[in-house]
Amino acid sequence: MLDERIIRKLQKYRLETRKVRAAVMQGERRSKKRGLSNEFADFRAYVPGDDIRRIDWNIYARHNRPFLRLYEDEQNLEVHVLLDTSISMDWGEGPENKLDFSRKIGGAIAVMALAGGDRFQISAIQGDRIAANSGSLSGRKSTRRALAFLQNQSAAGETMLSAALSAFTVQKRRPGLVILLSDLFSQDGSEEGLRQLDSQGHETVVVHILAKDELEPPWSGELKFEDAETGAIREVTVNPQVVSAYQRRLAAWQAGIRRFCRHRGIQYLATHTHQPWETTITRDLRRMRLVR
Amino acid sequence: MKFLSPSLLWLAGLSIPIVILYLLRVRREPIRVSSVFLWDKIVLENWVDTPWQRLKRNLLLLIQLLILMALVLGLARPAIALPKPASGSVILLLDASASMQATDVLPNRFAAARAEAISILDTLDQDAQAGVVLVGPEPGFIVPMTTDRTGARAALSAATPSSGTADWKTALSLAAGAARGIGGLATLIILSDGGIRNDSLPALPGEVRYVSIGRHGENLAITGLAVRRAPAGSELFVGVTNYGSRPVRAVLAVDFDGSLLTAQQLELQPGENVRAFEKNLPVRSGLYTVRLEPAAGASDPLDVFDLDNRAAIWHQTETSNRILLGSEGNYFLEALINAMPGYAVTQALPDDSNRIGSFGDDFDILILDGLGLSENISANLLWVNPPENALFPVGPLFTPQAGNAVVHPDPRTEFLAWNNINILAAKTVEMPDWAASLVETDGRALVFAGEIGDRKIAVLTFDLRDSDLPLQVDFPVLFANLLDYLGGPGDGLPTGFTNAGEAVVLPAPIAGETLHVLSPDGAPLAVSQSDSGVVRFIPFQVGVYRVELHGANGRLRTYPIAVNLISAEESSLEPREELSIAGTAVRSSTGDETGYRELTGWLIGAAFILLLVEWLVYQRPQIGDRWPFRAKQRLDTRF
Repeated sequence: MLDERIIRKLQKYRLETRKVRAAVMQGERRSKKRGLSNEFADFRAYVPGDDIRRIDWNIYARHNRPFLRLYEDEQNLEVHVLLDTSISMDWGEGPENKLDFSRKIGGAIAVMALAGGDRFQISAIQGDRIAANSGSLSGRKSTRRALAFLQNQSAAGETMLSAALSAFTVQKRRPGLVILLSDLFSQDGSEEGLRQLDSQGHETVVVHILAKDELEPPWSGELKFEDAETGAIREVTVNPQVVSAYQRRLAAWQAGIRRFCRHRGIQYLATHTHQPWETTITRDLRRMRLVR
Repeated sequence: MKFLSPSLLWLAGLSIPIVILYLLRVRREPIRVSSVFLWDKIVLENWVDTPWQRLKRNLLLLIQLLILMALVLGLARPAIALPKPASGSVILLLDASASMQATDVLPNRFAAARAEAISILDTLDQDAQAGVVLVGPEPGFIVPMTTDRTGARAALSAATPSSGTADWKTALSLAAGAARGIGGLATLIILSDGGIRNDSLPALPGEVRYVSIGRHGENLAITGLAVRRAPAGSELFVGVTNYGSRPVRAVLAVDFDGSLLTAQQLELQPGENVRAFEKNLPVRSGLYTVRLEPAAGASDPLDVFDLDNRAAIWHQTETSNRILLGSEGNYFLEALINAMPGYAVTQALPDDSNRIGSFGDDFDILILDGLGLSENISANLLWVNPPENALFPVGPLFTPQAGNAVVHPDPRTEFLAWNNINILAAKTVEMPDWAASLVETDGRALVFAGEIGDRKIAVLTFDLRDSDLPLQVDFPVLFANLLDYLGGPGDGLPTGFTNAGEAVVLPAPIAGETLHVLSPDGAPLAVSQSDSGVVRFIPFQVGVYRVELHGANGRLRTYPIAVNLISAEESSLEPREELSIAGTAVRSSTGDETGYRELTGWLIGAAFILLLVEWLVYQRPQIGDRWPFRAKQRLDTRF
C-alpha cells in the first residue's frame, strides 16, 4: 500500500494537536491533565535536558546508561483513525476509489503517528458499530501491522455514522486525536456522533472524501439511480439545470457540516479522490497544522 | 368561416392518447451511484405535482398537439365565405386587349382581371369545370374545360395582354361553343374594362356575367396619323384626343428618322379632338415618329395608358414604282407588269403617230411595246420591239437559231437561263457605244441595255408575240431584273403604318432572296409563307418592325414597318358598367351566391413546418454547440 520510500518520507513528519497537550512531566507530549499518574508506561533513553530526577537509577546501575521512566497519562498522544468502510466508500476506479484513498491517508497518519512515538489505533466503521479494530499500536515496528490492517479492510454494509461514533466514544474515553475518514453519506447523519466526540474531549478532524462523479455528475437524460448501499431507487431526469441544483445542494451540505464543525472546534477538510492523496497530507493537513 | 367536412373533427380526440403516452413512465436507464442521498431533495423539487408538472413543461408535447390540431382542422376543410360569381362550371373570358394595360389599377388592369379570375377559380366547387379564353386579336382557350385548378392557375399566371384590339366576336363564339359542349350549363364570366364593340356579337347560351375592371378613363391618345407628298413638300397630320374628364396639357413632338423635327404645346379639354398639321417637311423617304409627353414642369405621368401616346409612320417618297405602259394591247406584257408587286402601272394607248403623248415627269419608267419614243420624254425606258429611232440604228429582221443564245453574266441577267426560247424574228440592232449586249444569238443582240447620261435604257429587239418567251419562266425573271435596273426594286412593302394585331402581308421575296422580320426589340419573328411565296405575319407589339431581305450575292435591303395602336376603341378607357351582347344587357356584378375558399393547404403546410420544429427540438441535445440559437442552458424536452 505504501512503499518504503514513501514511508521513510512520511516518518519525517509529525502529527500536531491543539487541544490535547502532554503534562508537565517529560515525555514526547504534554497532556492537559494535571498531576501524574502512577501507571508505568515505558522507558526511554535520557537525552541532555531531561529532568534528572526522572532517571531510573536501577536501570542505570544495571546498564550504566541513564533511562527515563515514562508514565501512562502524560505523553503519548493517542491517535485514532476511524475509517468508514461502508459500501458507498468503495466508489471510484483505481487511485480514485474512495476507500483506497482513505486507506492511504490512514496509512500515512499511522506512519507519522508511530514515528512520532504516538499511540495509534485504527477502527473500521461499518453500519452502526466499530466492525474492526487494530488495537493500540506504538513504535515504528508497528507500522507494517497498521498498514496491513488497513489493507485488509473491505467495504460492506450501510453507513450509520452517528451511532458508530457514539459506540466509539463508549470504548475510548481517554481523549485523543480522532481522524474520521468518511464520505459522510450516513443514514443517521454525523452531527450527533461528532458532538459526542467533542464532548468527550477528543480533538476531532473530519476528512470528508468524495469522488469526482459525486462532485460533478456526468450523466444526463431519463435515469434511474440505484443506491449502492441501500438499493434505494430514485428516478431523475438529469439535465444541466438538475446538475446545477445537485451541486448547489452538495455545496450547502458541506457548508453546513463545516459550520457545525467550526462551532465545536472540529477541524474539517473536504477533499476529493482525483487529487493525489499525498497532496492531502503534505498540503491540506499541513495547512490545518495537523501535520508538520 | 365554416368547415366543409366537420365530421372529421372527431380526430381531435387523438390528443388524449398522446397526452396519456406522455403521462406514462418513460424508460429510464438504470445507473448505480454511491448514494442517492444528495439526489433525494432534487428529485422532490422536480417531481412536485407529478404527473401534471411533467405535462406543464413539455415542449415536445405542445408541438405534437399543435401538429394534430393542424392536421385535424385541415382534414375538416375550413373555408372562408366569399361572394361567388357563379355556381357550377364557368368559362372565363379574360380581356387581353391593349386597353387592359392601363395602369389606373395597379399594376395594370390585366393583372387585376387575372387575379379576379384566379379568385373565381378558387371559389368553384371541386367537381366544377372551368375554362379560360384569352381575348386578344387572336382569341383562344388558354385553359380548356377542366377541373384541374392548379394547371388553370399556372396558365393564367403565364398569360399576358396584347397591344391590339380584342376580337370579341371570335372569343364569344369559342365560349359559346364550349358552353354548348357541356349542355349549356356553364356560366360565362367576362372580365374586361368593357371595350367591346357590340356589332355582330353572337348570342350566348346560359348565364352571362360581367366583372368590370378599371377605375377611370383619364387618357390622352394619338387618334390619327397620316403623311403625304405635296407640291410644296411633305405634310404630316396628327390627331390627338382627350378621352378623360379633365383638361390636359401636353407636348406633341415630331421626330424624323430619330431627330426632333418640331414640338408644340397642346391643351385639350375633356373630350376634345385636336388636329395638328406639319407642312413643308423634307421630301424624302423616312420614318416619322410622333410623341405625346407631359408639359414642361409637370411631375405626374401624362395618363394611365402609354401605348397610344406614340406612333410612327413610314413616308416613302423616292419610289421608282410608277410605270407608264405604252402598248396597243399585249396581254402577256400587260398582265406581267400589272402583276409586278410594288409598281403603280398606268397604261396608255398610242396616238396617231404611234407614240405616247407628253405626260410630264410623273412616271419613273416608260415601257414601250413596239411604239415610238417621244423626244420630250426623259424617263428610264424599257423598249420592246423598237421601231427606227434616234437612239440606235435598227436593221432588218432575222431569225435567231434556237439553242444558240448566249446569256452574258450580268446582274441584269441574274437567274436567266434562256433555255429553249424560240423567237420567230428579231430586229438587227447595231450595238451603240452606250449599251452592252445581255442576250445575243449569232452575234446579234436579243436584249441589250445601257445608259445615255442619267437615262437608263433596256431593249428587247423582238416582238414578244413572235416568241414563246411570255410562256417561259425567264419572262418574269427578265422583266423583274430590267425593271430593277431601270427604276429600283418594286418592293411592295407597306408604307404608312399598321395597327397592332392586324395582319401584314409582304410580297414574296424574289428568287435568291430570304426574308426576315425583326420585332421592335430586335427579336426575329416567325412568319408564315403561302404557296405563292407571300409572307404574312401579325405584329402584336407597338413599335417599328424591320424587314430584312438577304440576297444571294450578299446584298441586304431593309425596310421599316411602323406598328401603332391608333384605335378609339382601345384609347377610350372609361370602364363600362354594362355590356350589350346580342341585344342583351349584362351589368357588372360579383354574383349573388356564396363561395368558399378553403384553407386546408395552409393548415397542412403549417403541420409540416411544426413537424420540422419538433424534429429540431428533439434533436437539439445531439446538435449541441452547433445549435444556432443557444438557450440559457442546454435543454432537452423540458423548458
